[in-house]
Amino acid sequence: MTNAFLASAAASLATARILIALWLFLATAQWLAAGSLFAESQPLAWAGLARRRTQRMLGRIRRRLSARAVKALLGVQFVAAAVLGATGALPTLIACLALLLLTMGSFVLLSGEFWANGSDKIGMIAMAGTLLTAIGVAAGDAGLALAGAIVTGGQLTLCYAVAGGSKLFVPTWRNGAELAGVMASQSWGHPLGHRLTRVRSLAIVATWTVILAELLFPLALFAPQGWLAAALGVMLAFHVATALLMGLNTFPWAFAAAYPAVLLLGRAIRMGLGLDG
Amino acid sequence: MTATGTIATAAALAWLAVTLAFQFRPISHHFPVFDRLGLLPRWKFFTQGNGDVDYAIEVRDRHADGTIGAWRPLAVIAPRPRRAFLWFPESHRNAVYCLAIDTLARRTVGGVVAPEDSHAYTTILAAVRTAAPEASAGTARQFALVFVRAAQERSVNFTSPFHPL
Repeated sequence: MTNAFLASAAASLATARILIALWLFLATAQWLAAGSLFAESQPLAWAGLARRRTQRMLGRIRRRLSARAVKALLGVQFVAAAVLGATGALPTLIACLALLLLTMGSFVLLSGEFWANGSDKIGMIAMAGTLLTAIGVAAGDAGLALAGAIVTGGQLTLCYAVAGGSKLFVPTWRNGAELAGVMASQSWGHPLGHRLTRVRSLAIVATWTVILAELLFPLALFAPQGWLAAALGVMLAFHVATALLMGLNTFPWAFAAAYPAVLLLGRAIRMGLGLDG
Repeated sequence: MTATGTIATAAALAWLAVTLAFQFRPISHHFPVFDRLGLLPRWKFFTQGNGDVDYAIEVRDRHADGTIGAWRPLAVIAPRPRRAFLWFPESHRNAVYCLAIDTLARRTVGGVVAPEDSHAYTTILAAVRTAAPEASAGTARQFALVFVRAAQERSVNFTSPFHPL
């Protein structure tokens, strides 16, 4: 069973690294295009963040880094993502992921709450879990490979379950009003979404479809791989819809980057339960 | 399974368990020290009560003769372009200002005065100071944070004092 799991883990790495690379290209390119935010006296200038009273040690580091340093780090990230996507050699894969976690982690730390949105968090988790799995495959250690699948697949599953479950406790989500309100807003809304959700029954159906898909997703981990893949396809369609309707354009790529680990975790669960060979 | 693999698997499961616990406010509120490094993600998207809120900043000037001009909108948050589903770098600038506005508004709940040296305040003030003047230049400017809920309900959540230009 250990060898079979390691073989599955090795196979999942090929897809994972390409999906991670695609997400990173988009995310990094968007930050490079928004690089002026880090210039002096701009909102994300690290010298400005350095004045925060509660982060004095980080402040010392921030004062020494300029907008040029940010762009250089982003450039390194872009190149590492390209190498990650281009080559499947395990040592290179491991080195690239470690470097990317270092650069992304540095941005998150130095830019505080202004850096990471939900897609960045999932993307970083995908990188961390894939790194662990890759090290496990390289070392022939099924436990390490499994830990990587738990890190990424487990967090993504938890993400969906919590997102669905938390909506269940908000009355305006349950009655469709929250979705209608979001679609009516300038920040997150869309004219087509607004027109559709003004019809109360449509808003309720759409809302409950999302709530149930998110809340019930963990059950798919126990299903055969084909069914799990279909469930992931449904969730990816949801993320594509949020990209089209709400401008959350990095979410489909970041979440897809975590899907190979979810499939691997599902395989591990079914192997552990004796449902798969 | 090797000892390393067992430890790594146990650690991964423990991280999942703690992440789940931190989704509940009583725990995340009372034990923030466990998340000093920000390694415990919160997964409650659009359930914090502000998913249908649009943020805006309005400014008005005070002139040398003491007269005060009318409130006018300050365009810091860019509208979403059609290509946003593919390419949307403007989202970062929008997120910075939305976060600053939301942070500042929350700090004034219950009559508490927002600290003017906070990053949120200085971020907004820097944008306010660079806004185009009215027909005649003012000597001081104040800003107001406006929340519009579901494109209908408008409320002013914070009004600053006048700041010299």
